[in-house]
Amino acid sequence: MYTLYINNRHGSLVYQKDFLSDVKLTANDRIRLASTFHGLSAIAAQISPVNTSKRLPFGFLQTTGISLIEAEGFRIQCFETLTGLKFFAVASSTFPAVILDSFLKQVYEVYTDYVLKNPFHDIDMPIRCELFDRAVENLFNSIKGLG
Amino acid sequence: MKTSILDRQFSKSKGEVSLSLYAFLFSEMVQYCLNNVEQSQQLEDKLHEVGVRVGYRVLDLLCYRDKANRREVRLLSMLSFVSQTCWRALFGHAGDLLKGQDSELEYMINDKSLLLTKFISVPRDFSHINCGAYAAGIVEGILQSAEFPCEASAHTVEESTNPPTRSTTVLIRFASEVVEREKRLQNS
Repeated sequence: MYTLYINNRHGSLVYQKDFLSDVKLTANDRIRLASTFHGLSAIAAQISPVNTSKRLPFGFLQTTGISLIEAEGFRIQCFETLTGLKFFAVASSTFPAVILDSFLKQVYEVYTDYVLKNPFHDIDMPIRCELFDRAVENLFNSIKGLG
Repeated sequence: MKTSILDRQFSKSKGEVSLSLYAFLFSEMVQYCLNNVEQSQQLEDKLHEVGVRVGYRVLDLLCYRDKANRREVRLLSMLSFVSQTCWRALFGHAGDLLKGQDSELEYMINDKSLLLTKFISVPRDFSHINCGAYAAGIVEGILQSAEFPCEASAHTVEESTNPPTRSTTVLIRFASEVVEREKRLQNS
């Protein structure tokens, strides 16, 4: 796994972490990449031929948009929360998708713990929490060997 | 049937409150205090002030629950009541009671993982702030209403292990008459 991004519900990047040192992107590149992903995801939801959200009861609670982009050599996997946050990670295509999915959900879990319960964090603003950093790192270390 | 708060068992105390609820409530409280002060330095004072009022009530409640309506009058047993019984009721585990090195008026309660600050990471520009000031306020409230005049303050202790761990120490400084009284009680 290479990089983890978190977008807020307005599509701007609030958190980003590289797990490999040889990723070479400037801060601006990352912001551009993250908001492009948000835009693509919104367009994908619009042009999708199946519209599940209207048919199902409580369908409006279902998230729409991109959950996986497969490319040659890497893939981008996204987990969108009901509140509109997007957790997405760039990983090599050999990395098991199930593990990546559960990793993103676990990141959401530590986000609710160490970010939302932190009185010094403003919602929708970039995340600067030491404890959150450490928790994400621990999560990554626990799955590192599996990939 | 819904029971009112007055009908409920008074002595029940274990695991009644979820940790998330506790953490969110405390977080909101810190934000409220933060909005109500002009300088960030005053945040600790504000939290302390709120804690003191909690302390008054904690003493009454725990004396009733655990001590059959008696309270300690000796210094050391009072301190161990605070660091064991009160700490367990408030934060789920006991704190370590230490004696101050420089002065006989000083005692410390150390907690390696204070429940209050479990989810809180303090930003760099607030680095002097410890939200444990609330716990210090509670300790001061308990001791003052038990007739042990004192001042309590919270301090962050950083240990350079890997990963670096932070513990919170509540420093209690008694008024000199407390120690004098203690000596009189010892001799009699």
